[in-house]
Amino acid sequence: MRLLLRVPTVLLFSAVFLLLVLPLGTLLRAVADPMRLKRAPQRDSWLRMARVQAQRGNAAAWTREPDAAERPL
Amino acid sequence: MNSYVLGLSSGYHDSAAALLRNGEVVAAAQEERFSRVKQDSRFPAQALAYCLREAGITLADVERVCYYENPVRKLGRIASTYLNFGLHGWRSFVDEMPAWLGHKVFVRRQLAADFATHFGVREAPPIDYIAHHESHAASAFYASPYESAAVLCVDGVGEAATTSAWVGQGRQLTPVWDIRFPHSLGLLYSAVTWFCGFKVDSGEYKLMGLAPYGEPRYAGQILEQLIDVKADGSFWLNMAYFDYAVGDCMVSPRFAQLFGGPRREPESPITQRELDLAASVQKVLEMVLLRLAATLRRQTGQKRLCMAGGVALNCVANGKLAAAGLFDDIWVQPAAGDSGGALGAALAGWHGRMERPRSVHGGDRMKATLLGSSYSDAEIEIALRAHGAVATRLGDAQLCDEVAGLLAQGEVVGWFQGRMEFGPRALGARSILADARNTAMQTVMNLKIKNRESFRPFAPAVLADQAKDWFDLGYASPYMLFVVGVNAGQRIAETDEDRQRFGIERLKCPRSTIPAVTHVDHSARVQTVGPDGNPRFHALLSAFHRRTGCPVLVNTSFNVRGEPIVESPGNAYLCFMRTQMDSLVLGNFLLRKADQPALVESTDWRDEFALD
Repeated sequence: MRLLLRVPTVLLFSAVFLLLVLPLGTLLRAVADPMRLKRAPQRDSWLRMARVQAQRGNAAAWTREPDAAERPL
Repeated sequence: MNSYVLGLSSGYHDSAAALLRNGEVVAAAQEERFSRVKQDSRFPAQALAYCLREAGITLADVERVCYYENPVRKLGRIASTYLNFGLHGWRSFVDEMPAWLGHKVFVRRQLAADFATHFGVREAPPIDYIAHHESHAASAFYASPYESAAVLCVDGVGEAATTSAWVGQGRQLTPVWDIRFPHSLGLLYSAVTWFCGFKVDSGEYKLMGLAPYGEPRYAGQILEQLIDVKADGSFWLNMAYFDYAVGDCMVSPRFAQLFGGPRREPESPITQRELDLAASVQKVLEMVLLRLAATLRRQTGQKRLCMAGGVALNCVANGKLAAAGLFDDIWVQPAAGDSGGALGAALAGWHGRMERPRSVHGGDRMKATLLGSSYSDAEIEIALRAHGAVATRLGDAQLCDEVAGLLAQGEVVGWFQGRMEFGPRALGARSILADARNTAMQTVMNLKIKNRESFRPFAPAVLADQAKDWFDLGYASPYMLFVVGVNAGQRIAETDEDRQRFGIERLKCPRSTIPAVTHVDHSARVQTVGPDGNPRFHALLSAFHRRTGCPVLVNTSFNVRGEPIVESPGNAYLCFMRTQMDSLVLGNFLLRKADQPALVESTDWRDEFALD
């Protein structure tokens, strides 16, 4: 029974993958590299500096790339 | 009225529960100890039941539950990975996504269901998600003895971060920077671990132990091809060589091409290539950690460093970091892996979310890691009767002298005392002990007691006030998290014949006056034992010192290969009877192997535990 339920789920997500994720991914990689998959030898750091939003408690937001002046080296 | 906060880790590996009462750690335990399944990832029902029992409360008394990562953010990272890798992730996407959208992302709902199933709770306490690296950072800083410190967390991956830096000040924990998936120092180390024929998430210790046998002749290739390390220690992995991001394997075929052939088959003979690969990746890891630590010191101005994350269990790198003198003090969370995430989540909940103050009173908050279950002599006696065991009950004063005598005669002794340790190390509560001066002891313990690979080193426990005479150690190391050199005065000079030996053959050379705990590079993973943390273990070491003039014992975890460390007297008795241990001490009871009735089992116990 679980296997039978799994088949349509897998088909659905496969369709989503083919129709949405793959073209989007291809487009995204063409215009940006959010996971930094391409080597960038001109960089002097791979650190992503943190910007702490004013939130209750310690919840942190890692939202911003470092400006050149903020880079550690 | 007391306020209780519960921390949980589960779902991936090393499930655990940790309970705070008014911010103090009451109890913490890993599920594997109770379930007897190594690195058990299931809901930690038994560990949680124990924590509640220890505190004398029910789940209804818990004010807040903190889960050690944020599954929504994690799903975001996974979706982002599929977007980035496109068609390469096709098969993994089909395998993983239904489970993720089915239940993995709905952790609150799942936990509430588990609370209802296991504890009959209709309405679960409020459940907070604490980010994975925030949990690690909290476990490192809030549990440390420092009012302020820099914090470095390095592991495989949590949500997105694989390496993160923080500054802790009082009850505040502030992020500084991170490095994100798929660029991961932990996964680089795990990939080499896998390629050398060991299991990911457990074989990393073996790779670290293997490194001193090899030469780092692949370090250049690793730095040129696999990882781009910047001057500040930040790094980028060349994903053409790795397959873990969206594949079902740690490395891609190019990795094998780079290192001259396919992966070593598990349990097959270890070749020089594996020894050299281990030495090489260890060297790269140390280099990156040293640079990251230097950057953090410069950026934050902090004089003290706290560390957590699985990579913080690399005690060789920790020793190098301490020796570099970048920070005045370093404190590493003893449960640095994901089990410690449960404790970190609870501490982050208490200080961060609930904004409760934090005060530092000299020592750390880990209570020598003795945060787990314990058994009274009456309970031990009942367990022994159930097994038909023959035991002698000794008085407190007599016990340590008697056991020290047995150890001095060359016996291997199982030592089960008081509360169980939290974290991967046995620190004198669930330990197997032996005489470190015995030349044959490493081989005997590896092959006849632990049933594990002959190359693996053993660690020494030493009286804290004697440590400097035996090891190059200028600081306390109560959690066995720093590897240092054996003192020059204790070393034995190499002969010409010794110098001719290569690889694992080097095991045959006597290297110091305490050869059973001296690795081939004259290093040792030291545990210093003071009178406060574990008084009975200290008393035993003192008795052994008085008798032999040597304040050092071999201290290894009370288990065999693939088995979780023993939790109960019953576990300990079975482990004792199945191996060639000579004696067992359970509380005040001493058991000699020769006195015991034969153990009759219908199956081979070796089949019970999968090899790690």
